[in-house]
Amino acid sequence: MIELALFFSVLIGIYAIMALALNLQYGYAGLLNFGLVAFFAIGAYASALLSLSGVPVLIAMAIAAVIAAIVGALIAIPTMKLSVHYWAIVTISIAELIRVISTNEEWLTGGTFGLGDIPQPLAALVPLESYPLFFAGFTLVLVAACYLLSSALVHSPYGRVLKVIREDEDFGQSLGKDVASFKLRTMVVGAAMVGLAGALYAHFTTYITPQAFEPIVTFIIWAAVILGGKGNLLGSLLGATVIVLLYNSTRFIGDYVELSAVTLANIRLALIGLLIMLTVLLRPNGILPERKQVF
Amino acid sequence: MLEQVLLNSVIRGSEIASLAIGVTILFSLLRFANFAHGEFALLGAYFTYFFVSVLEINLWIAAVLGAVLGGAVALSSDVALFSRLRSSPGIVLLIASLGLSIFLRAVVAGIWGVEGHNYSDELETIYRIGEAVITHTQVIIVIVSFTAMALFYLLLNHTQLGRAMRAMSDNMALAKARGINIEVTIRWIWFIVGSYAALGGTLIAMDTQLWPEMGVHIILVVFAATILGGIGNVYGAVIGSFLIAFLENASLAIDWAFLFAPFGVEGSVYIPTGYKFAVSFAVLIIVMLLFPKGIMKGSKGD
Amino acid sequence: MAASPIIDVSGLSISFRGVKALQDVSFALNSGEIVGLIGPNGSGKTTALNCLSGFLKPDAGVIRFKGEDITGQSPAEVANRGLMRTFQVTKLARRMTLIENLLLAAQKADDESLFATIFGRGTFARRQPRLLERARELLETVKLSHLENDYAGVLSGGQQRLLSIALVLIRDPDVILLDEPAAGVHPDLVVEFIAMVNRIREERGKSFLIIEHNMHFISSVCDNVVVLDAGTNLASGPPNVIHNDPRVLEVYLGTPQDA
Repeated sequence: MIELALFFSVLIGIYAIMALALNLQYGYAGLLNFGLVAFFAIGAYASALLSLSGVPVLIAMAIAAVIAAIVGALIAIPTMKLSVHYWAIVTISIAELIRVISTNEEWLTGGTFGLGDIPQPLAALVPLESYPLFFAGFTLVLVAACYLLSSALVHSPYGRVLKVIREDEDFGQSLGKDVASFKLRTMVVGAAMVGLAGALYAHFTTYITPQAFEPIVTFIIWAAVILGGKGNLLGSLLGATVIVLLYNSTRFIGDYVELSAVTLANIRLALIGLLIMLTVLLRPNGILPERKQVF
Repeated sequence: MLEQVLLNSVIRGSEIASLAIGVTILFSLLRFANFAHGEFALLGAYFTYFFVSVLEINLWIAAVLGAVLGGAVALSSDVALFSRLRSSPGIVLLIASLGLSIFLRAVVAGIWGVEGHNYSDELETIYRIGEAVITHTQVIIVIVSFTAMALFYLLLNHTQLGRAMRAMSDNMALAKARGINIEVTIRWIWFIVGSYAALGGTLIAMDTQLWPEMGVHIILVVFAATILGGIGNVYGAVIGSFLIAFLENASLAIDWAFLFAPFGVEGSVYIPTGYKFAVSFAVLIIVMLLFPKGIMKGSKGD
Repeated sequence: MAASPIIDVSGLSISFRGVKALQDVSFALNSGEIVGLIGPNGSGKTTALNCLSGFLKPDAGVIRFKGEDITGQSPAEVANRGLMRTFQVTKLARRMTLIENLLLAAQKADDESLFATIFGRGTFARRQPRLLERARELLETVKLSHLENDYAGVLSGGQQRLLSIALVLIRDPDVILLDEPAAGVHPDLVVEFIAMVNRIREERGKSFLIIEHNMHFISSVCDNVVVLDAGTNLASGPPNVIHNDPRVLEVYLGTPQDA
């Protein structure tokens, strides 16, 4: 039971980091990043490959976040002038492209067989029986760090420029804000955080395949941010918790009703889709709506 | 070689166009990219499959019934979801359509499973045109699709509904002032574009096979065609569809050796089959970057 | 000091999909001067203003600001040089409070960098009280103090225009471009607007370029008027002269006026 609780707390932590990143991008800056899973995959593969080739895990994770950030910048630079709708379409395409690459380039990613035996951080120092607890604590530290970083970013002059991107880009421009460069920076920060989450995931499961990087990951994070409340960082933590638990609780339906694995998987997906629609309809600002900053 | 590429492009283009028409109209009227459009196609294809496999109805009657049901699903999605968000910004509608798309796909996969299906197992008659080959089904796909497009042209230009649609896409406020019933017209539009998408889905499934991911795979290509043709421009969307189809087929048929020769790579270099799906994504990204405003005049290109 | 104009536009031309919106348009604005840019709908006034503020890149022509060629620079660059604008349909950050809008406008680029945000938070914290004070002063000027912590989206049309002027003023630009400041504004507020523009010029020495249909507004504040018709220069001169110019009467004043 404790094992299960620790397992879920790590999973929630991984999604919480990604939800914080998306909240920066969508909740504050209004950027429709539908390709989040690409950075998740890049972080996971980069950290896995680096640590498998002998780089210490913690350093591998840091490098993975940097690589994800660089890819984020490379994607953002040519596409930043596109309107939000186009950007949504482009980012989802890029994510699919990256998934196809991860499936096909077997020499690098192991193809559909994936990568196994990925080392875990500080595995030699922590006793085996308390390792799950250690990993949960490690995750918590990373979530806290990402939360503090996000909070510092949004409660600052930088954060106000983010919001003006969401509100009206032309207005921001007319006040002398170089909107494109702020989008780029937000893309890079978010990509680094999602990359870190990917790295964490790889070292948590110790085994990754392209199936772990389907577009549904992106949509789960979207559901978490919308449900939790866009423009509210605590909302992202809450949203990630609710969605991860809900998504995984359907696994237990199988204990009571005779259902095939495929049916169960699709019930989970339908639930995510339904939740997105219902939130948009009934509680468009989420459970914890954005708070007004009062001076 | 070129003949086959052109022939494949016509087939693929006519499939894409049946969806692109609707996406471009919805974008120009309601200001959002409808991610669920691919799932209208998916549902249409599976409705047809239901009529053919369970009720054993003739495929062509089934296809028409599938189109009508697909239109009904699109209409219901407006009633239940999109009409309640009329005053919301386009981003919100886009996200709602994403939710709908995930939901519908999961429902289809839950009911019919994730494995592929076919309408019939019969061997195909194959025709040769010069060097190129085309199957009997593909000929019919092209004929049906062109007929549908001709009907759409008549609808747009020679009916009151079509005039209302064009007036609304030109200037919503003016259309309202001229006494056009906006809400009724929007409902009709959802039904019509939904049934066109559903018909397109059946055609795609006839050409390849039915599987729950087909909507996702077609929708991004459809977006590319729509943008290339200039948002809100129905003729542009059709032309964009054939252009995108050509780019896809040509890039698969081209020997890219000339690109790699300077790096000392010898022999032919074709895009590996594992990357076949990726070609559409790559084409889309390139189109977006090179022609963000499309190649034809859009109504209010974003 | 040589009396070179602060804004000097020459030979401005731009076309959209083959339709010529501006053809060889030239005009100038001297420091401390208020110039009206008028003309019938579709004459290219807003297009000219969009070129000046960097939102459109002209096909031909040169725009000089304080003697420097700023043609084709980005809107942000132009604004940072001290040439700022408002919009015909007021643009604001609707889901930010009035104070937040003003802080956004006032804050310096140095404080907006990622590095400063993460490692140099003290610097801005020290600067913030000063900016807040200025923001409140300006809200006082435009008589919106009582709404300082409300979202800008709840303001009436006229109040939004007032705020947009405060947003421009807080950055202390040299030239202010106003796109139809009186459109849709209550007549009482228009009177206040006129007084405010005159006061800003007197007290702060700002120059203005104003697009406006309201002829009362134009003649009350402008030293000079430039008239555009179908994307070309039609006439220019002091308001009273322009008022009686037969060419202007024909294309512009001759048509029924609602303003």
